[in-house]
Amino acid sequence: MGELDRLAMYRQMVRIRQYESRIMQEYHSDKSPAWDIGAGLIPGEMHLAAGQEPAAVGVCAHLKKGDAITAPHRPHHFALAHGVDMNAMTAEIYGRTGGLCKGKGGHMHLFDPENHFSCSGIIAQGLPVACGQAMAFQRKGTDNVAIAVTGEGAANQGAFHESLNLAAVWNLPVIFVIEDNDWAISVPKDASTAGASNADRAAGYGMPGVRVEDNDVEAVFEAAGAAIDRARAGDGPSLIEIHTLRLFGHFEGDAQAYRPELDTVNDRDPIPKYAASLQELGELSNDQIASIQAEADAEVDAAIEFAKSSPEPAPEDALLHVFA
Amino acid sequence: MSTTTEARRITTAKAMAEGIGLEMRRDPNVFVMGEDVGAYGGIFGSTTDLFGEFGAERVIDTPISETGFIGAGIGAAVEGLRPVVELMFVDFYGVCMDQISNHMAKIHYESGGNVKVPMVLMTATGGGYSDAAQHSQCLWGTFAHLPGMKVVVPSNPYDAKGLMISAIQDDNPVMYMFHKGGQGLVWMEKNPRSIGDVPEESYTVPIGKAAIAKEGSDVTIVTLSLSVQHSLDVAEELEGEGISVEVVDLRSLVPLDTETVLESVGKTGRVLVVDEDYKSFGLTGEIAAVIAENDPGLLTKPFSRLAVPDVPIPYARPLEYGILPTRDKIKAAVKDLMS
Amino acid sequence: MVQNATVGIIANPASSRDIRRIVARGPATTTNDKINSLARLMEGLAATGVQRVLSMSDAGGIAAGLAAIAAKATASHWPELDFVDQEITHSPTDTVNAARAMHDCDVGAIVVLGGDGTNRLLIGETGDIPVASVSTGTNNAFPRHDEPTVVGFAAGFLATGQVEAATCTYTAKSLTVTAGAESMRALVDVAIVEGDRIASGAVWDERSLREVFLCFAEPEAVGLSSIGGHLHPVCRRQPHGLHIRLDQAARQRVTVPIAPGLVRKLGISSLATLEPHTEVAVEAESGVISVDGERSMRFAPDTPISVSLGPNGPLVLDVPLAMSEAANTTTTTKGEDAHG
Repeated sequence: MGELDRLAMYRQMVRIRQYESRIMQEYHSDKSPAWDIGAGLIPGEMHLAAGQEPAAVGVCAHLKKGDAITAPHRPHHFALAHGVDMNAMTAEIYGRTGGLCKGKGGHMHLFDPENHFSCSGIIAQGLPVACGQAMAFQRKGTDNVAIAVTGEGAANQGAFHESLNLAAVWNLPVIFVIEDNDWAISVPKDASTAGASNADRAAGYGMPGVRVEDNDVEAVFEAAGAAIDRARAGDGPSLIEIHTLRLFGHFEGDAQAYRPELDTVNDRDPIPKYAASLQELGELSNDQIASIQAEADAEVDAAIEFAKSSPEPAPEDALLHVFA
Repeated sequence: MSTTTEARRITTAKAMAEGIGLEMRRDPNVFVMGEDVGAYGGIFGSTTDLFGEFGAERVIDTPISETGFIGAGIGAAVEGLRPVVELMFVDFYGVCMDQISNHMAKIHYESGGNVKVPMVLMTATGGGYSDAAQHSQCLWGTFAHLPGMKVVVPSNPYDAKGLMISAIQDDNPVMYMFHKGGQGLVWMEKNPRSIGDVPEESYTVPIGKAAIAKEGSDVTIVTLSLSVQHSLDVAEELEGEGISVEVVDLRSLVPLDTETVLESVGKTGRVLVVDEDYKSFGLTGEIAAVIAENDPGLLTKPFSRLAVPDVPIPYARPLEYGILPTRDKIKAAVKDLMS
Repeated sequence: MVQNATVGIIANPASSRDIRRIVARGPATTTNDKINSLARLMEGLAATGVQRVLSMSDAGGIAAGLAAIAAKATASHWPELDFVDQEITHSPTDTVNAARAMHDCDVGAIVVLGGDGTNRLLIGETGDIPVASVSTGTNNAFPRHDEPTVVGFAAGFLATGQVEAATCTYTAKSLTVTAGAESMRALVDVAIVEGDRIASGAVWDERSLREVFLCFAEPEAVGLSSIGGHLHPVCRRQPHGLHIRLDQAARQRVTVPIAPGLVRKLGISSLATLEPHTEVAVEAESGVISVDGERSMRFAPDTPISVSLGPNGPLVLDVPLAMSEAANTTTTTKGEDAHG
């Protein structure tokens, strides 16, 4: 397991939060007067990961060049934590030619082959692909790992079960990371999931399952580090279920009428809590908090600028890139 | 195409397996996975003798998890390997269609061309031996309809090998759809055209190029897969009756060689499309549209098609053969065009 | 016999799920296993005539699972099952609140499903209500390994007055560690650990251990107490404990299972008995204090730290003793059940 770099993790979480907050602002800013999902500079669906930063940052702290991640429809935190270029990612979200995918994919289909990062809008379908990437690493004899990220609701999809079985039976270097944010859109976990624990399900598939209860980035760091070390050593797959927090709605525009605890979610925000604990340790000063925030502000503003000034693709480009 | 050195007569199954084997020898990144592809050699012979040469390391038996192992094929391909994955029966597409059409076929496009998926998904199609509604379909129309994957459909041993080698060498995802009845299996009805001359060496058959299986001047049959074999049988017979039939073997549906089709139709003026897939909203309608939008004046007789009617495929032999595009029906349709 | 006897049950949904599944070979006791154990417990309680069970509430599926079984016709002979009306916090607070509620209701006994960490939370909450522990956690030095059905019998006999508390209970020892203004309690061990990470709680890196205080040290146990158990066993009924200082460079070495399946070599620089009611000062640079195997409290340099041992833990039910008591005091009448 690598060294714990508290300041780096705090900085990364702030950076991600700033990104998600600004994208939320930008996304809504031009959909008036009557909110139209297809209107504005960022059209379509938007799923933001504010509150789930500890999951991405704690896991990605252990990843190196060549390690792969498949992420779901709520991918920004993992993308940024894994080194995907913020400018190119933002331009893609804005549907511009300077985007990662030249505007072809958008927010749910971000592909960065340099960083072996991809995401998909179909629930749980990134899990088998991550198994395949792990299989490739195994066949090539590298000690790279694949991280398969999905939600607690997605763990009821067939692909989840097939992937766990396949990974266990072939001893693949893949780590399944379940972000349990309590809500599959509007359906709470106890209404959808028998047995209530994906750590338990892992045991049923012949791999260790660990639950991290409190959205704490250092607890994620330790659990993920152990799991990744295990996979790199050739000891096979494992599953980490992280009880995390979805601060915003499932998608932007979600009024969350179904969510009774909505007015208390901000009390559970992991970033101020972590800042407080780092301050107590004497590892973070008020000046640093301010400067880290300012850096994040500047970087995100620059990315949005970059995106806005990137050209829109020509309509005829829609016919390109079907086949290599 | 290279000079033919040695040719021997082998079955379609053996030919496609040979194509896979040659590529596996040439490129260590190629490997095979699917259900019973190992020691069994594939339920329909697609991997005959590969396990013996390459072993479990490169010819992998999977659990019954189509979404899982087809997805794994995609992930491996994305990382630079070249998997050949088998979907045992095309009819099983329902349990894994998301991985096929939303992932395998779309990743390259969604990534703006930055990510390649050099994968072959081979699958067994076709009826005629009473395997009923869930095990007898062709469905190439469905796969050809969805953007992002090439679709090849060999009709004979020579093309089976060449198309397989082309498919593996192609950097795109390729659906390789072979007909069970055309494999030359000893435990199915014998089709003499399922055994043929196949060179021992490696060679390619271009994807996206149809072949004139038989030249003729009176009627064009546009067809594919096992129906090519049936159409050739009919054409031979009709030759004796003074009707000259040209058989166009499509070989690929995506890309579709419309040029060859239009040239032949232009020559004969009469077209019959024979398709063992379902009639409506499929290949036969596609050919009609291609002709109509290019030059409907090419036709001197109305467009004619023979396909499986829009019914699930029944079990009892009289019922099944009541709906398949048999030689008798092909012959009758050609004669109709000539009347 | 006490009519209307009530027994409390506490089952921790978070036990057997932490990082020791990966860094050690921690068993994966699933939610279903826990529900099953509780169902077995209920059968034992029912057989002894317990009328009511008051269970902790949880969001981990245990309460829901047990309630589902209790609602079926096949469980109609079970004690009436009620749940503590508590706000669920997904934290150890839930266990503490449940214990308090049971104490306030004056239940006849409390059965706890969990490991050392779970049982520790009962210190100071249960008064003189006897506690029986069923092990389902990772480290089970404190809980015994009795079959839940039998624990149900034993707890039921006690709650219904068919055996006397005086004959089959004893007061557990507990440690109190104070660091500056804060203090924590432990049922098995207190350790002074190097570093400043509390994170995932569990202690598994033997190189970070500096000092260990033990309530008891059974040679057959797993966990930090095995350090003492392999060198100088101390049983639960003896009044004293152990104080061990560790140094990886020390000449005396011992090889012990500090977690399930995790066997490590440790250097021992000193070992002494820990007399009850005596405050022992700890000299350490900054570090972390772990209680019952879980890193819990950071301390800064120059923080005064002291540890003391006393017979001030929960009142514990000795299941084998209770069962033999019950067997010895039974009067059988031909054709009638021996108990209940």
